[in-house]
Amino acid sequence: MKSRSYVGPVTSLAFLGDDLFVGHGLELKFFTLSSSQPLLQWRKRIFKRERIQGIQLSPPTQDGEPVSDANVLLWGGKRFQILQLADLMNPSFNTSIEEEIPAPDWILHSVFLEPDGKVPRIAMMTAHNTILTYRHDQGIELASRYKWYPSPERCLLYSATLFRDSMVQTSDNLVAIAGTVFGEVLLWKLDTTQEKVPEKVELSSRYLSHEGSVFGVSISPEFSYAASCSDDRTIRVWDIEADITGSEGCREVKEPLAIGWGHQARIWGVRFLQAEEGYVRIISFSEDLTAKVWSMRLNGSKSLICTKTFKNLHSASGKNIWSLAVHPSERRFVTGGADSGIASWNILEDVRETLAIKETVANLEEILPPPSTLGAGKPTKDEPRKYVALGSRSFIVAMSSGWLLHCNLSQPGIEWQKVGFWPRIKNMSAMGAGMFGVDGTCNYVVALGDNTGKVLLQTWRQGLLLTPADSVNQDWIQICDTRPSDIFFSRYQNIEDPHSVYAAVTTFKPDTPIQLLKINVGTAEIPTIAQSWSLIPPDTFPFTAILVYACEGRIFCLAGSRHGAFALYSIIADGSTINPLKTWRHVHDDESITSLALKGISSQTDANASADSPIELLLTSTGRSGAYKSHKLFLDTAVQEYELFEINAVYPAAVPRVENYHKFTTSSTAEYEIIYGFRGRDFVLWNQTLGLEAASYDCEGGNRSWDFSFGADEDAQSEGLFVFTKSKKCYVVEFKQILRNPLLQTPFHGREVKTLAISSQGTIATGAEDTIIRLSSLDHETNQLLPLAFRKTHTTGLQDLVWSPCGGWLFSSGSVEEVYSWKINAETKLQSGTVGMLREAVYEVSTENLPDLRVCGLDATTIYTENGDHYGFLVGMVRSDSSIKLALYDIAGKKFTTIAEGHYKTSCLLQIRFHLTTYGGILIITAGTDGHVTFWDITETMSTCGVSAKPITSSDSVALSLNGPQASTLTPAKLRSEQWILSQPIHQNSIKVLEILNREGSEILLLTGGDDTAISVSRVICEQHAGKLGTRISGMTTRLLERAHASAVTALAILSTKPSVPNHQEKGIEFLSSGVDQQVKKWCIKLGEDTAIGSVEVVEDIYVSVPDVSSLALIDTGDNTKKLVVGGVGVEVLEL
Amino acid sequence: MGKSSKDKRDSYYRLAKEQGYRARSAYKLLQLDAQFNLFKDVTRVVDLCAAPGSWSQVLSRSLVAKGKDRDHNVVGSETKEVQEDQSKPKVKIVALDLQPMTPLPGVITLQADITHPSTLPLVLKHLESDSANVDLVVSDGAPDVTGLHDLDEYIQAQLLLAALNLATCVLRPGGNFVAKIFRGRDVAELYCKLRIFFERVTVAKPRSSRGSSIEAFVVCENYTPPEGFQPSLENPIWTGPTRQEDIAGQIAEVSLDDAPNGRWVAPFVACGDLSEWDSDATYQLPDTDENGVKRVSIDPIQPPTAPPYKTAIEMRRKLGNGGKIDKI
Ligand SMILES: C[S@@+](CC[C@H](N)C(=O)[O-])C[C@H]1O[C@@H](n2cnc3c(N)ncnc32)[C@H](O)[C@@H]1O
Repeated sequence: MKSRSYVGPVTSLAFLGDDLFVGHGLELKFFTLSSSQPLLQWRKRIFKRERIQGIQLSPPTQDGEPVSDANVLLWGGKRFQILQLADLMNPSFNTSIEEEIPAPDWILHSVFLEPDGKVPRIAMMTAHNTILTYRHDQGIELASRYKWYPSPERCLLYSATLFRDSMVQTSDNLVAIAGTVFGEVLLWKLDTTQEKVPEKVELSSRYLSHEGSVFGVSISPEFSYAASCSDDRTIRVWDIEADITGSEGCREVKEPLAIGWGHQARIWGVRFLQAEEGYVRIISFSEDLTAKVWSMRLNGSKSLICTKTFKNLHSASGKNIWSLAVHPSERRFVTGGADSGIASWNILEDVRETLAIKETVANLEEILPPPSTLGAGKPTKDEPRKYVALGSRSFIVAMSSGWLLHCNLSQPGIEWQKVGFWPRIKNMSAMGAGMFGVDGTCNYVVALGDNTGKVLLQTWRQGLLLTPADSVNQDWIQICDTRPSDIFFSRYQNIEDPHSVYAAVTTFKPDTPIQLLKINVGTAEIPTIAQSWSLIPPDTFPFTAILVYACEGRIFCLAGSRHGAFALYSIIADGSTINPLKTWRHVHDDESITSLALKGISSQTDANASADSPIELLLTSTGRSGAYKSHKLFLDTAVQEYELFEINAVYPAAVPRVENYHKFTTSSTAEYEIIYGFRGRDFVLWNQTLGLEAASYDCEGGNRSWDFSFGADEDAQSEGLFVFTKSKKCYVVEFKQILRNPLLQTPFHGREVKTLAISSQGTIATGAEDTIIRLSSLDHETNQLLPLAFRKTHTTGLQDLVWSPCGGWLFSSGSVEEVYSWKINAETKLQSGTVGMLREAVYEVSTENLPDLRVCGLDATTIYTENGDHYGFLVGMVRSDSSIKLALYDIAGKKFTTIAEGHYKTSCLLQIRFHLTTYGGILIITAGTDGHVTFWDITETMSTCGVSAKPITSSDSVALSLNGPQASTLTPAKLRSEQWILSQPIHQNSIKVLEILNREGSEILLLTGGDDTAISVSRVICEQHAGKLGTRISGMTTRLLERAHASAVTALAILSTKPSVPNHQEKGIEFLSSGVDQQVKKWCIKLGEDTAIGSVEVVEDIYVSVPDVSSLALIDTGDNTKKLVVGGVGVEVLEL
Repeated sequence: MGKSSKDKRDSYYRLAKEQGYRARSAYKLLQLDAQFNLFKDVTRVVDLCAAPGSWSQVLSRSLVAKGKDRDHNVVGSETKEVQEDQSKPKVKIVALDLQPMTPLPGVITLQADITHPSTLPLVLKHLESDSANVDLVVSDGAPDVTGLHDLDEYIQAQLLLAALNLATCVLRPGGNFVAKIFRGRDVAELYCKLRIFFERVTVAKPRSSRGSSIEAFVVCENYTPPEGFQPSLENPIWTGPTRQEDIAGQIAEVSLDDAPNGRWVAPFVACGDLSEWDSDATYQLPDTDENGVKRVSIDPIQPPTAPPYKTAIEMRRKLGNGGKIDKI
């Protein structure tokens, strides 16, 4: 076995000039960041078992230029390595884990000292507040390379940092600062230049007042201040100048200079930044997923003020930031997360760059004439009513007074223009804009409705009005007979008819026809209405969005409603009043549809399309339900069939109120899906592809008049314009760098993977304590996991995941009785590197008074109908209250129906497996915290529910078949102890894992792993009951391998697939096991005669870098070999 | 680790509340005693990492009431028991923790860091004896876990080794040592070290300890230090070098005849009867108790005396408005 890739916590980071060293697991990685695209240059394994906790370069590079014979020091736990930088940087140089050097205690921090000629020397500070020096002379015995110094106080530390007194460059005078578990900060000095070890070393000072363990300590560059951070959520700054220079005794300080409040969880680290004149600056990072920059004024009252908060770092699924490094320029910093992600953030905006978010409050009173000059009566309060943003650098606003204003932002400074004043548009809200391209430039046709049902059209390009002033003033066209309520444009420009733009005009009268306009923009300057139709809305169908698609002379219009429905119209050229062809309700639950767009047209329909060949469209839509969805719309006019299939649904938790969706292609490889909408008070732009927030702005909520547009022209990509009204004022918010990708390394789960399952198609599903389910594929060349989809839908940490045998469905479980079914649409390539993932059904919750009820184990097996069609699955669930539920999952009806239920005892059940015998027996095997494995014969019970096991003629396997009474009408059958055919104590306590080799047939090879460190191997022989329907167990042989691992055995995977006994007697059956001891062992079982087990032996044993291993799963690599995927705190891929 | 979203109030929590224990941990010690008969002939005990004090309660109830009625499910009988305790000067319980502990009658409670060199002399002083005559040392020490597994396991191991060092100084030959242990990747090294001092080392998981938690307990019986071993306050073993000569020893692996590479796996015992409550199970509790009284949600048994972030929370409350402290 060989480790091939790893995702997991990033434990250390260090800059080398512009480039970056990363300690990731047992490996050191090197990224170049100087080019536009961060690039991983190499990765090299450093340690056998330790994660890299620290990286130091010799000598510390101030200007970023390493000296030619520089060395690199890497440490982790009780190990370190010293390497020459030049060697390390040579891509063909291989590090050797055999070169790791054991230290006598846990290293908390280490620095280089003056080398002894060519021999590097280092000093290290251990977790027992002790300093040792080490001279890297491999010619002498290890212990003699160390020099020990007495500790002023040998207590256990959580943090320590060593500094060389930089005042004297070549000095080996050390200053140590340490944080204890008892909330103390200790400062002491040690002179290591003397040959003689001092008898005794004194503390310089002891800083008290923290109320919890101290997790991080640091000293300012000029040795004037120290900072510490703690469990108590504070940062404290100490004046150390006197203690550094002074020499008399230990000073006890009970009052910090300043305390920084604001972090909302434990704070892991603090660093000093270069001071501004008169200030001390600090950066901190915390468990609350923020980093904060702090400032303390040196004169006046010394308070520590947080000047900038970097929010939601690693928040997609994160919980912790484990490492941080500041770029030598101090303009930016990088963070490494528990989620495996590495991201770069800007501390200071570069003066050459523009601000990422710029807010302007427009003073409209200055632009508009005073209300009194308007003549008519008493002055009315004017306010912005309706906006349309035309790209990112211009927008139009209609004022309640009847003024229409245009605002141009392309120049520095805002430029306003009065487009017109029409009393007929007073208090009007009907205005919309549609986009159309002419020779690569972006044009907008704006439609403005007045109070009498008339509409005015005008065209804008790059902030200029193209339509001549006289037509703007005269060409109002009657569209409807009452005041329009809104105007919606279709967002799709048909290739076949690029000169047409479609818009729908709605009115305030319910159930009256909607006017669909075909606007001819052939002459861009003077848009005209080429044709209009009256669309009859279905019942209760207020329009909120439309999409018009034209192909081969046929025109379809899809409309979305305020109540989450879609309606389809076929637009006939000569018709005038059109009824819907079909309506689909509850597409977005019953919530308003906020946008509709076309994602693509299926290629096969494009090829040889004729006037009535079927069309398949890919749609995306967003809704107030909080989702953006993808649908396949199938239009067959010949047979009048119109079908809508949901293929993907995402509910981004970061944007609970989704307004729109946009996909960007930034290069041939990078595609970003950006969703925008509101979360609480904030307007949020969310990058779904990267799983992080692109930008957010506090606008005090979305219930106001607003509009947003992305930049339209090429040079404005990555820009966005958000205009809105707050307190009757017009706010203009310009976003830049929306498409900025701060990630150097893709994030994965932020907390431990609890369950991992691989589908028959090779899709890896992982469920973690962070409540997220992720789907990934394995790149067989690089062995990297490639993200396909993720969902944060469960409200609790995941307990179990199981794939349907076909790989099309996934079942997931969590606490509070959560069980979901997911439809996985792998074949529909919505976008390269993603799959559709739809939550189809939720298993009904039965009890409300057991909030802690966990669904610990799941299994699913396929059920066919009597005539061989796929009906769905039989899903088994075992739970922490000892209950078992068996449910039918109907794939057509998309619902669960409980058909049998019962309790085992009162102890928690953890495992369930179905087993079907060749003669039609149906068994379930359960196991739990009481260490028993129980076999239930449910053949008869299932038959009363219409479920039976039948041989499949095409293969020599057995499958379930559903016939007889419709299960949904039945009350669930009872599962009772009478159905136990064997309940065998195997482990002393929890059975953490249970695997069976053959899911069918009369012999079961059963493997279990326990908290008691044992593995059991059993052969169980089933036999048909003479006389009655059912099974009895005629023999069971168990071999218990005690102390198979050093701690709990939590995962097993069987390597062999189909058992064939004679073969196994020679070659044996191989399986893999793992547990909390982080070892993966490969075993070989030799079966004996009859039911005997010949031998079970370990054939391989290796260490993996994933703590808390919870699962092992095998993945086919195609060429008859398999790889092993290990899940725990991270994921590791091994070649077998 | 240990902490998870499902860490709710389980059956042992309720039981502890009913029986007047300060923490559900009490049952871990009770179940360990039931399996190993730890309290037999025990009069002098040291309880390390003892806050909030449920183990001390178990010890005081068991050792004092021994020979008499061992049934101690009478709530509020504590003071009575204590008076009996004082009439039996033989029983001595010294309890110690980093956190302040609400005093327990009959138990000497100390606030100190067990990894600090000044703590051992403090404990010795309160034992009021020059000779090593303690029968049992128990330690339930666990750090505030950070989530960095290797660091958490190291710190926990250091608490265990600090307790072991203390035990070597105070235990009488034949005495026993019980300590919490995280069964992580290097646990076999710890087992090996313990085996050097005790005839029998077993790892036990009480049923009251959650299956999802990495914790277990090492039960080390019959203290028999290797020949020539000199326990020392100044030079504790396996807690980093305390002088130049220690370096070689701290780097080298410990080895035993049957564990040449310094790793040895202790036999495992699950203790507590299967008929007892399962700490991983969710129980359906009737809405009313046996007396027909409606169950109400129960308060923490002994709220953490002083969570480290208490002041931070107060500060936030003072400033109001969630995280908007930034703008002050
Ligand atoms: C699980 S609790 C003990 C519960 C206790 N046995 C009871 O039954 O109430 C673990 C204790 O270890 C303590 N602890 C952690 N590190 C310590 C140290 N260095 N010195 C002393 N106590 C420590 C913690 O303060 C905490 O109270």
